[in-house]
Amino acid sequence: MREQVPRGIIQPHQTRGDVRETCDVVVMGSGAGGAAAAATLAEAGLDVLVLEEGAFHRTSEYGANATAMFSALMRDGGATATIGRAPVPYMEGRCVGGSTVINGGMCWRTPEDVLDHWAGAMGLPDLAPAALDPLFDEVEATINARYQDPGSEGGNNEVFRRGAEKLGWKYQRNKRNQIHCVGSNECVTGCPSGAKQSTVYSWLPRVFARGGRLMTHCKVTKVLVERGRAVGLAGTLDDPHRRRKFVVRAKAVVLAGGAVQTPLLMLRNKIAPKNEHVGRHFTIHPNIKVAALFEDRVESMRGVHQAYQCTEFKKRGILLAPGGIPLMFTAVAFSDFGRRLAERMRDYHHIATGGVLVDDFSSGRIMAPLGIPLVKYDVTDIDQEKFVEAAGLLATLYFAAGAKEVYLPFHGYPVLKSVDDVKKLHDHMPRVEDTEYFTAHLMGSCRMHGDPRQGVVGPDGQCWDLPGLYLADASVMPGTIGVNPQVTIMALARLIALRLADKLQRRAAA
Amino acid sequence: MGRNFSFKGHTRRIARALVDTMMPRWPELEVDLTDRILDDVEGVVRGFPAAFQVGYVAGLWALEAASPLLGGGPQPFTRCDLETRERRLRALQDSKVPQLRQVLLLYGVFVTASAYAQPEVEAFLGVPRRAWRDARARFRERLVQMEASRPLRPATPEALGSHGVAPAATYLDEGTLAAEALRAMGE
Ligand SMILES: Cc1cc2nc3c(=O)[nH]c(=O)nc-3n(C[C@H](O)[C@H](O)[C@H](O)COP(=O)(O)OP(=O)(O)OC[C@H]3O[C@@H](n4cnc5c(N)ncnc54)[C@H](O)[C@@H]3O)c2cc1C
Ligand code: SF4
Repeated sequence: MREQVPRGIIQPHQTRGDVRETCDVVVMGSGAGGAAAAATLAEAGLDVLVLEEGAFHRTSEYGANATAMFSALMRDGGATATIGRAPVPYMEGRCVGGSTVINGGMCWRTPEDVLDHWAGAMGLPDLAPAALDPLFDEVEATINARYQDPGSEGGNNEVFRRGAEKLGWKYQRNKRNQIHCVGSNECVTGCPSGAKQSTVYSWLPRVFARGGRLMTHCKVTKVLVERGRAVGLAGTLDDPHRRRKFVVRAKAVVLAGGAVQTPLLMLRNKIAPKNEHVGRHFTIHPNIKVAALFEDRVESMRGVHQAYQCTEFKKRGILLAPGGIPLMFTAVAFSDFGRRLAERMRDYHHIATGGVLVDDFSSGRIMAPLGIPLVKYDVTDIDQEKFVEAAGLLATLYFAAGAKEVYLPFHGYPVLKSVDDVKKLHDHMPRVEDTEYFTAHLMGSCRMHGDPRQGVVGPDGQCWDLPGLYLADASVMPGTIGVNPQVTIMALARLIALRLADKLQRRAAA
Repeated sequence: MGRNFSFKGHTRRIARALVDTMMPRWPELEVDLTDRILDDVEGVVRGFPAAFQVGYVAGLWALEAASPLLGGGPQPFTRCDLETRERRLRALQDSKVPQLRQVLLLYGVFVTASAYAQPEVEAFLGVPRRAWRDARARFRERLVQMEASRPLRPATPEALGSHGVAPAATYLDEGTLAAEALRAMGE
């Protein structure tokens, strides 16, 4: 039976002309932060309208043509990258569900030492572990953060586990937001089986159940400000037939466009022009990929994207993980082309892929000179040393698992044939400019801070410089966390929304 | 430019020559995928903001006009044979200037991603991705149906399948085997 479009979703063909709406709270974005905030507000009895730039896609519409899915689900077809010493490609979901539709589904709570730091040094006592634990429980229950069904892991995860076990390195099973993930390994182009519990299947149904609405194809371009207060959002409705406008007025405005789009909107609208933190402190958990060739078949196609993480080196800011990717992305991972790449890909069945993720000391900046989006980020030499060390560790793990060869993403670097080659890595330290990075975790560009001079929003998520404007997405993260961020983002968004609901209800009662 | 973007005129010829050079080739696989991959690349570029589209096309023209500097004679890129075109791109790939390598990488990503997602390439490499996706979706549908008849669902973070919904040993088998496994469990 064909999946229905949920009641509550309003698509362009359901409205005519320019749209004018009023509600209690208008939320920009339906990703991890926006959807969690919207559900919390709707369940508090508030009239909520979510504005989403992208389209709604049914599970059956997550198709096998990867390039078409990139265009359908991602901003700029996924061809986005930071600028700096080396470009770092990144992706932003642009569809109902945001980046949760294209993410890997790994679910980790914010580490306690990070929360202690936020609660103490950053003046945010409400983010202490004891305060956030109940929120993490709620988030995990809502998104079904579970261990994989036994047997769904697949060969790519198995070789990783084998290597970690041989070396006696600590590894942990991932929780993932899924119900019977069957290991089709296509997470990045939308889960074709409906197993992944993106916000489309977790938070948004809760919004609709309480009468909340979501308008698709609505690109917010303007924050309406009256008498020094945010009172609504306006923008363009991307109707395939003609460009229309919308204006939504509300008692409170929540921005949740993600760590790049939220500060961009603020900068373009000259909101908080004197606050130098808008767009700054942007961290990305850069990562690099490593591939290994085995004698036996690995069969990356079968199995979940990532079932384990090796946390042995977490204290040094290094996380190692398998990363199963479909054939086309494995080919892309080799950064080669033509006939030479074609020859290598004959071995596809024997190739395992993984990656290393590093806590970044560097931070970047989102800018909008003349309104043009620029995302600046430089990997520092200190971080690079960690990358080289981490790549060596992952290579060691793969050799322990029986790899014949390991390929590292350092330009001009020879294929490693044994652990002895790993030792030589530090003799010719690969430069930042010669390294191919990637990131999926964009954070902290409008950080929360207890001191108005140090951040963009306060502990309640409200902008220090514009009452009525709340931020509830990855941009408010007070700093880098060293683990996958969606659970943290949802918990923060829920916390912010609970406070906001309380405030609005008290105001209404008064 | 914008959402009506397409490769036109000589720009199309340059883009086609680039795709033709960067796509995979195996002597045993005879089917010509160039135009299909070109269409895919065009579709991706159509999704770019207009400024990026201009940059993309400018890059193609720079390749056409300036690639003789990379060796192989004075002909523009589109007039070269496959060997010469490949040699020129390899010269870019090995360049000491990281920005040149990075730009080449960007152009290559779209070609490679499209090429290795073509059904013929997947079949040639023995990767039945489309069939696998479909079989997995069907398998999951049955797991969900089976579970609906169970009185209790284990709380998070317990794995649902650890409660005997489907045996681990055959969980990742093709659809038919998994279905048999389910039947064997007395579904
Ligand atoms: C490939 C990939 C893999 C990942 N894997 C994991 C993982 O395994 N585990 C994990 O924890 N995290 C993962 N992440 C990260 C995680 O998904 C994101 O950190 C999280 O979704 C960010 O939440 P957000 O609310 O800030 O933004 P998003 O989820 O990106 O949502 C933002 C939404 O706002 C909309 N929007 C933006 N601007 C506007 C505008 N002007 N008008 C209207 N709407 C707008 C966008 O279209 C989008 O829908 C991954 C991310 C990617 C890209
Ligand atoms: S591995 Fe496949 S089934 Fe599992 S969540 Fe990803 S896309 Fe869905």
